[in-house]
Order: sequence, then C-alpha cells, then structure tokens
Amino acid sequence: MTLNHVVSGFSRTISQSRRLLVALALAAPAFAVALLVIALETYRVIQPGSILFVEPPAASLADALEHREVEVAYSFIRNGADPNATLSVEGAALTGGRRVDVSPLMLAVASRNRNAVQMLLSAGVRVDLPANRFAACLARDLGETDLETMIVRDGRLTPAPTCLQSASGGVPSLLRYLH
Amino acid sequence: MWRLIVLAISAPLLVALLIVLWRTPFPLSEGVSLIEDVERNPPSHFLAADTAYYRPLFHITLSTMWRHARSPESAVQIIKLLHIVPVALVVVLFIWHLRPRDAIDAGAAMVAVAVLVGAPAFRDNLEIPLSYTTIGIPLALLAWMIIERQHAWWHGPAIVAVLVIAVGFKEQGLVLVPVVIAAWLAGAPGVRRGTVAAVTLLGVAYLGYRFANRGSLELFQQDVGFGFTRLSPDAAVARFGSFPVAIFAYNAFATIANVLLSEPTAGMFSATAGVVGGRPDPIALLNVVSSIAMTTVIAWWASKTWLRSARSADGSAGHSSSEPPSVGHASMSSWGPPSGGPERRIIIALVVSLLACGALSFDYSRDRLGGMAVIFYALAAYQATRALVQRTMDVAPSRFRIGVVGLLILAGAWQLRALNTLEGARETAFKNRREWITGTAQRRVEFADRGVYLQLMDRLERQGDSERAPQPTRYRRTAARLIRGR
Repeated sequence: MTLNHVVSGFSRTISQSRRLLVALALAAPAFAVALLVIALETYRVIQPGSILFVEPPAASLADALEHREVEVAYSFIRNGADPNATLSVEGAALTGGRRVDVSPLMLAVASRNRNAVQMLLSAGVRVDLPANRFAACLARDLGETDLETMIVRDGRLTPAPTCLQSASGGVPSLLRYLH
Repeated sequence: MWRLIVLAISAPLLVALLIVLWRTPFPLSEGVSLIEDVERNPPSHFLAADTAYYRPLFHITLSTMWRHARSPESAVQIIKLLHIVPVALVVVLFIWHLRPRDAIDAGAAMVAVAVLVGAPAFRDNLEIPLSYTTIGIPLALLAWMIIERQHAWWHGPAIVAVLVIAVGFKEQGLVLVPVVIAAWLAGAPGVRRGTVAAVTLLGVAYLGYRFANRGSLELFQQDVGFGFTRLSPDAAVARFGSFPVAIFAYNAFATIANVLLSEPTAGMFSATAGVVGGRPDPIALLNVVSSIAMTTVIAWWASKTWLRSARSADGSAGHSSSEPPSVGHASMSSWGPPSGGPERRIIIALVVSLLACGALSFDYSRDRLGGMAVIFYALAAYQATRALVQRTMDVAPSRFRIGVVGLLILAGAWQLRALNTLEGARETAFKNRREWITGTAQRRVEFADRGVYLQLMDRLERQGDSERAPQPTRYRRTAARLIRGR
C-alpha cells in the first residue's frame, strides 16, 4: 500500500515535471519574442536615431547622394536644401581628385544612383537649367541608358540636348560636362 | 486565465504590428488609383459586375469613408483602421476561440497564434489599403465560432450576413459556402438545414450573376508564376492559351501548396530556386522547413483523429464518442464520412477551404489568396500540437527529451516567422515611403491626362513621405538573415 502510494506519487511528480517542461518548450520562444519586441520598441522610442533603426545621417547632401540610401539625401531636401543649387564635390573616382561645383542631379547620375535621380526629379529639379542640361548626356556616357530615358521623360526635357562625342581618355565623364 | 496569459504574451508583437500598419504610408501605386476610382465614380458604379475584380462592398465602404471624412488625412486614417481592426480582431478572436485550459494548451495556443501570424497568406494580406481578405479572415473565424456553438435562432442570419460581407469585400469570401455546407454535413451543432440552403442559394446566385455579367475578360488578368519563372499575361496566353486548364490547375495547386508548405510563392518556387542557384534565402528556407514540419504534424493528427472517429462511428451509428448525437438535426451519416466531432470538423474545414481557395485562384496564384484557409490551418495546428504534446508525454525518457527539443525547435521557428511578419510590414512601409520619394515625377508624366489622380497625389504626398514612416530594424548578421531574409 505504502509502496504503491510512493510509486504513484513518483509517477505523478514525473508527469507534472514533463507537463511543465513541454509547456515551457512551447511557450519559451513566444515569451522570448515578446521580450525582444518590448525591448526593441522601447529602445526605438527612447533612441529613434540609433543605427539599429535608421541609417546614420550624412555629412552633406553630396555625401548622401554619393554614398547613402535615397532617404538620407531626401531628408536634406525636405529640410530646405535647394535641389537645383550646386554642391562642392571632391572625389577621386568622380572628379579625378579635383574640387568642382556640380548640381545634385549631375552628381546622382555620376554616382549611378538611380533612386537619387528619381528622387531629385520628383523633388522638382529643373532639367533645363545650365547645371543640369547635360545630365542625360552624362548618363548616356556612363552607359546608363535607362537613367538617360528617365531624365528626358520625367524631366520633360524638350528638345533633348545635343551630347558631346564619347571620349575614351582618362578624364572622368562628370568633368566633361561641367562648365 | 490561460486565455489572458496567451493574449498577454502575443500582445507585444500584435501591438507592434498594428502600430506599424497605422504608420505605414498609404501607397502611391495602388492606393491613389483606388481613391481616384471612388472619387470619380458614384457608389452605385461599383455594383456593376462586368469587371475582373468585383468587390462592391469594399469600394462602397472606401467611397463612404473618403467622401465623408473631414480631410484627406483623416480619410486615410479611417481607411487604415478598416485594415487594422480586422487584424487585431482575428488574433483576439482566435485566442478566445481556442480557449486554452492549462499550461500545455496555452503553449499550443501560442504556437497556433504564431502559425496564424507567420503564414504567408496572412502576411500578404497586410498590404494597406487592400483590406479585402483581411476582413474575410476574421469573418471566416466568426462564422466558424458560430457554427461550433450550440444552435440559437440568430445563427442562421448571422452566418448569412458574414457570408454577404465577406463576398462583398472579395470573392474569396465564397470559401465560406462549402465550409458551412461541409460543417453541417459533419454534424456541426450551430448550423441548420435552412441556413445551409440559404448559403448555397446565395453562393449559386452570386456565381450566376458574375458569369452572366462578366463582360469580355482577358484570359489572364495578372502575371502568372510558373515553376521558376513569372509570365506576363501575354506570355501566359501564348504558352497556355490553347489549353488553359493545365495552368489553372497549377495555379490552384500553387495556392494550396503555399498554405501548407510556404512554397511556391505567387506560383514560383523561389526557395527552391535559391537552393538550386547556390544562394539560399534563409528566411525562405525557414518558412518551407517549418511549414513542412507543421503540415506533417497536422497530417499525422488528422489521420489519427479521422481513424478514431471512423471507428467510433462504426460503434455509435455516426456520432463520435466525444459528442452527444445532435437532436432534430439532419446531417449526413449514412453515406460519406461519418459526422460528429469538432476536431474532425476542423480537418474537413481545412481541406474544403484549401480546395475552395485553390479553385478561386485558378487564374493566378498569390500568397494572399490562401487567406481564407489560413484560419483553419492555424486551428488545425493548435489541435495537432496538443496531440503531439500528448504523444510526447507518453514516451520513454530518452525519446521524451528528443520530443521536447523538437517541440522547442518547431515553436521557435514559427515564432521567428511571426517576427518576420512584423519586419515584413516595416519593409512594406519603407517601400511605400520610398515610392513617394522617388516616384511622383514619373507619374506626373504617365498620368498627365488624369487630373484627378494628380490632384489626389498632391494631396496625399505629405503623408506619403512622412519621416514617421516605420523603417526596418537593422538587425545584424545571423539575426538579419533569419528575420529579414537575405
């Protein structure tokens, strides 16, 4: 009788511990996800500018157009930067190390940044301005025909500009179209 | 109490998802066209059925919201609520319906909630403002809850109303017709012959009306995924136009397989293509493997339940031992599958809803088209997980440990998928904002002759490029691959 009692108590304990273990196995991942979401969302509220949530800000519009996601460049324009004003740029690849003044559109094309070109056109860049007039030609020079089409079509550039003959020298394409 | 615990643990992810949806910019591509449609046409225009996509109730609701809001901003907010409330409702109703009674039930319910939220058919329906099936999913659950309750006089009108609303928002609501019929045949306590007759009549009348007024439609309305490629409607006509039945069957199969296996996606075997091409997408693989595992568990549970109830029916003339015979209730018992048993009815509802979703997606397959079946898949996942737990409890200690690890991996995989749904919603919000930032110039040219469209675009631009739009969490390394994909 006593032995039976002990055995049944023991098996009850085992059964209980098994139930607990199984319930934990099912619930633990849900609990972990809940904690992760709470922690992340709380941190998002406290530190919205953390690199866990947004791309770090760029030093300038030129830097953003060359190296960052389009949203970073857009934040400059949204905050008042003129998309038609020229920027001072110096880069080994784009300008051969020279410091030059270039429009955001020309810089975006030279950087082959399709999203930035679309953003600038949407933000109201005037393709007919002297600083932008050869953006489509620059795109053609770089072999970016879809960018060229986009600039002519979405920038409503009529008539299309007469482009320079392609050069095979070492001069960066961007410099050929700067005044 | 267990319901509250499951709800509390599911709440952070659900609330985060709802907040993301609330802050998601109204999309430029589909959103503005929809509003243009309701701005240019009177509500009665949407009752005409000579269109490929017939969603009269959705358009009339959208029209009412747009026309009666104080400003475009508040209209957009109300339209978003139309999407967000059903998402919240389906999860809360689901937990309520599962009614967990102990810790193991609660654990299984948490897995089932993750199955619901992590399913591609659920995730694909989160796209604002396309709330057609997002409204249909909680309605399917509501209908099922009514069907499974002891009968009351209001059940019939309620089921009919649910059906009308679901179909009015999208034709996928028709899935409820065979589900109600099958549930009645299987002895569901909450539905009577009159309701089944009304539902059948409505379904047949709707199909008749649609076929009679379909106008001249193209053979394929959208791109068709086939194997590893996506075919444009023209390419699909060129390839399958002479014998479209084969591609129709493929599309139906693709939608069903997507619910059960998470592959193919929109008709294309993307996860397989990634593996074959040497660039496997970790999240796609996780989806496929966890779906195969869960579907296997469901199949095992279903066969066990089916055999048990068939044996029990042999001994009790058509009623399972777990349920008393229904009185005054004409259900099928002398032919076909034996009636009775809520678990068996879930199996039947899952099979019927899958077949119906497949049939309704004959023209092209998309993940979202399995939405009406996903609720039954999640219900089956709950029952199957409980059965698996029961089986695990009875085995020897060494196998028990393996079983516990297996359950932990299965539950963990589905929770990751639920988290992936949240990140997917963030990605969508991010893409919507990017579209506003980069896409307006092109549209000004393309839609130069659509003054209303351009006017609406200008009015909605501020909410579209708002800096408050959610951004994807920038997880690192392994976490990034498992939660956000490549």
